[in-house]
Amino acid sequence: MILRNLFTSAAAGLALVALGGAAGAQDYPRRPIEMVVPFGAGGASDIFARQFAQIASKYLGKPISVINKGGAGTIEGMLYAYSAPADGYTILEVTPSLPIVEARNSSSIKFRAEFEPIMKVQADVQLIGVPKSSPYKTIEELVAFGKANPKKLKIGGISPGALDDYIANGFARAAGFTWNYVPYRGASVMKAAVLGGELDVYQDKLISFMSLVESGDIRPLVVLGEKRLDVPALKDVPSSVEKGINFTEGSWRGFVVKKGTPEKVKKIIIEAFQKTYEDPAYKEVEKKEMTDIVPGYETAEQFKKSLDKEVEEYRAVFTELGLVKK
Amino acid sequence: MDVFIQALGEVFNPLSVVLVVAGTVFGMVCGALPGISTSLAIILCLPFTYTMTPAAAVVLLIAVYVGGACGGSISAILIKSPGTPEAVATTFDGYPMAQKGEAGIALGLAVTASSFGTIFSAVVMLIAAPLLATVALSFQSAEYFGLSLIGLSCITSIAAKDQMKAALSVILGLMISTIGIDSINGTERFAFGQPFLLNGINYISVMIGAFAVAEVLKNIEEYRHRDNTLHEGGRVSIKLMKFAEMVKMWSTFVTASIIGVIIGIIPAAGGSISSLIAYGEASRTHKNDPIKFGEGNPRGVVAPEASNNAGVGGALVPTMVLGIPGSPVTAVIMAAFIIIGMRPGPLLLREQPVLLNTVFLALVFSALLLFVGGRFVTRQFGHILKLPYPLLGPLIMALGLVGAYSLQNSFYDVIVMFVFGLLGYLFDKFRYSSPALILGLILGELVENSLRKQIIIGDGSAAGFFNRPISLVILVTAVVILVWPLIGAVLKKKAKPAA
Amino acid sequence: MAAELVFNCLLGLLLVFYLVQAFMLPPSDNPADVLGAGGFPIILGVLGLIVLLFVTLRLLRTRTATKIPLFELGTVDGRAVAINVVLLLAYLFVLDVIGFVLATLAYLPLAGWFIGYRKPAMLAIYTVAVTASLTLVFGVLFGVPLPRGAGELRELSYLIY
Repeated sequence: MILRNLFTSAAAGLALVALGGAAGAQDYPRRPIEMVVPFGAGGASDIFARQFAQIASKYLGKPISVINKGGAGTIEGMLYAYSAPADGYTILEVTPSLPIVEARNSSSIKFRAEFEPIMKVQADVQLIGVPKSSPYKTIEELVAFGKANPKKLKIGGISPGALDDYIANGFARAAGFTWNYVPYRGASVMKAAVLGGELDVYQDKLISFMSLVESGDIRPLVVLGEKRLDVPALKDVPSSVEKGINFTEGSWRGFVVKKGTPEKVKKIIIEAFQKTYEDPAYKEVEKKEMTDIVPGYETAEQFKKSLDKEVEEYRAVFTELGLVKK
Repeated sequence: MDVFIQALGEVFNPLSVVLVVAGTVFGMVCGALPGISTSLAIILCLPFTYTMTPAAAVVLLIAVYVGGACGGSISAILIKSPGTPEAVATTFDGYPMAQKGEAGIALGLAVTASSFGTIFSAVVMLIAAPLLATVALSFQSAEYFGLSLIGLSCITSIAAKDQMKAALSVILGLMISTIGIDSINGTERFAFGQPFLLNGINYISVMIGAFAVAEVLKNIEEYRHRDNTLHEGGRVSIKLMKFAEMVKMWSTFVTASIIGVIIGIIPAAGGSISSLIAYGEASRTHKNDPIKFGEGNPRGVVAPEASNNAGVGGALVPTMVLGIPGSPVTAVIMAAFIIIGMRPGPLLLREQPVLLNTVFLALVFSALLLFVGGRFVTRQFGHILKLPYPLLGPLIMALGLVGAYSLQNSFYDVIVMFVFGLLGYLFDKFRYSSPALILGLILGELVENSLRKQIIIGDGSAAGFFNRPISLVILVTAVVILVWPLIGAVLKKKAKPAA
Repeated sequence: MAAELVFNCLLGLLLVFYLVQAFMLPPSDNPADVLGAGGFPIILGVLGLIVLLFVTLRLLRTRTATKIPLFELGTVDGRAVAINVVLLLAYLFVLDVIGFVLATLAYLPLAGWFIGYRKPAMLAIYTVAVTASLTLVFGVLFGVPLPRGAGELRELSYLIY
């Protein structure tokens, strides 16, 4: 039975392949689409991609299957999307990690040269805080101590040379001091280190911050952004820009396809993703995950420009840290 | 009490019963397949939870988690390829038991131990969740270092044949763990510019290679000389152990569960470490058993399986109480909680008083199902051993290959599997120890990372290891465990110099 | 004994190479990180060499002989193992060319045959059943993007998983 099905479908497939090629763009999509997540399953970026894909498949008319390619710090995911044909059947999720790989020259594939933006979907705000027992009540006190005692304060992060390394050191650089960045493997260990008193300073994305702020275990000191956040528990927390520290980086998530994808196909994807972004079900997701409080949405054109700008900024900080490959 | 009754209503209704059965079975199948992790199993269930009530979603996810933690033992016992990292220690005695034709007993024991461990941890969680959460926070870098040393000290129990070569195997495993990006300062180590080495060598593909592939190669060369009637004559026994006999091992059940709960609570140490430590403890306590450890001692199956399932309840404690997941699987569960609109953290249990009871009941319910049904289901897997070896061998190879590939959907993991398959084959011939190699590989990162981090935290001084009381106690324990067998050996030699 | 000596020598070379690489790692830019990236590897390399030295000395003293069929291609067992190692390697490398399904359909019967199974009909049923179940379980149920092969085969594979 299975065999016979196999044979009939194989025959049908051959016919399709013979007809295909030229027909490509008109009847896109005629089979399921792969969404490549360059991270392991279960992280924030993976969960986001899965929820977005589920809603987007409604508008594309074909299932979108999420594929995790978490090897080699996003490089393997990028490589996979790069080696697939530029036909729109492989969509790559992007977070700051990919432009960081390019900025640090860690991969022979130059991200911006090989992929074309589809849409930047959401932004995730980063906050900096201290445990409740900490002597620092305001961000000024923290910065003042940092200036007087270079490299004394210990701030945690997930991995060296990645986004939180950039945020920790980029923030300190903009505020004019230095601290000691200690990477932990995994956010949970880092959180435990803050609450257990091993680290002086805590940085994390909004959703992870919230529950600890509400319970009073963490005192938020600054929001990295232009403005204060429209969240009741955080309305008294100043933004970095208002304190004169010009640093607003957080995480964000978007999508790209391989360069050379037919314009028509790209248009279909962009339209479907646009509808997904406006879908109430998706807005509900954003609300629960507390993402996009500061809007991160950018069209393909804007996304292209902001990528160029970010790569330059990453390169500046990582060059100072000695993390750019020659 | 009201909340308990409310939770009862949420868990014991027809829908939940269906969910628990489906979830537990699905988790077990995923756990049994090498390369399909429990985390993936839970992620695949997520879309179904969107339309459920929060309580039903919690029930389903917990059932999958419990099933997955148990399922890994199936392939560990039958084909010497642990289906999940947590089942690594189960291979040490589970596979030899299957070799002796006791696959059914081993599988039944694994399931019983799993359900015991789950219920034990569920009770502990219900009684003392907030108190236990403080344990998670008292473990910092210094304590992790001590814990990793206790883990390493297991080597004295898993490698009795040739201690010197076992020591070298551990060192090689530790060395392999240093490949990739240094997690403290980002230096690339021993990667030679190869992107696939940057994340390090995945120990599961090493395990599939050095255990399963090497074992198949060994069987291929023995096939023509050995008595194959055990397989081909269908004499594979799938009978279960008598309940009374199991009760005799109660101390192993309890000790392993305690170890599992404690290590489950600690964020950076997963089920693989807890099952190794529980195995080491059992083999030290019962080293005079008539059946040696490593040759099919039933306690060698009970200890790791009880402890890795006890880790389930343990890991859920900091997840719910602090918003700090105690294991990779609970990290996904936490993400799922957020999707269904609950935000794990210190306020969760106050805002959702029913939740803890729901989780407790879901755990107990899944565990009971495991105990009643699972024992009879898993042993059916034992029939696979009735395949003639020329068919079973290639099947294990193909399954191992797909499993290694599925870990990160990466071809490199398959190559790693192949290379370590050959190495494992040679290790076996030269009497080196593959389990010791894996032990080093699993613990390497924790040893180095916690050692260096504590020194950084102490501004370049190692004093922190000794002036933190818990750390000191753990370190002393580790040293005693490591050194005691050596002293014992010296004393023995002195006692009978003529021998 | 000769085989083990060669093995030990290779291991020794590997350890020395590892140690040299470890010494070349840059010191940490964080002054509190006393060990740095190279510290732990250096300790391991040195320990490893010491233990290897003892192991080798003991080997020279006891002269234990080891039989390794894989290297004895003259024997039936040796050939069976060696052919299976080569088959597995071939299986790995054709995956990306002809895809998972075809590669498995080819590997399973060949491997079974060379281990010594001689019932073609059973072998055929077994091959189809195992390939189908692996593909369905991993490719369809768990959505693992199994290797699809190149060119037209890639397109065909989308019809199955």
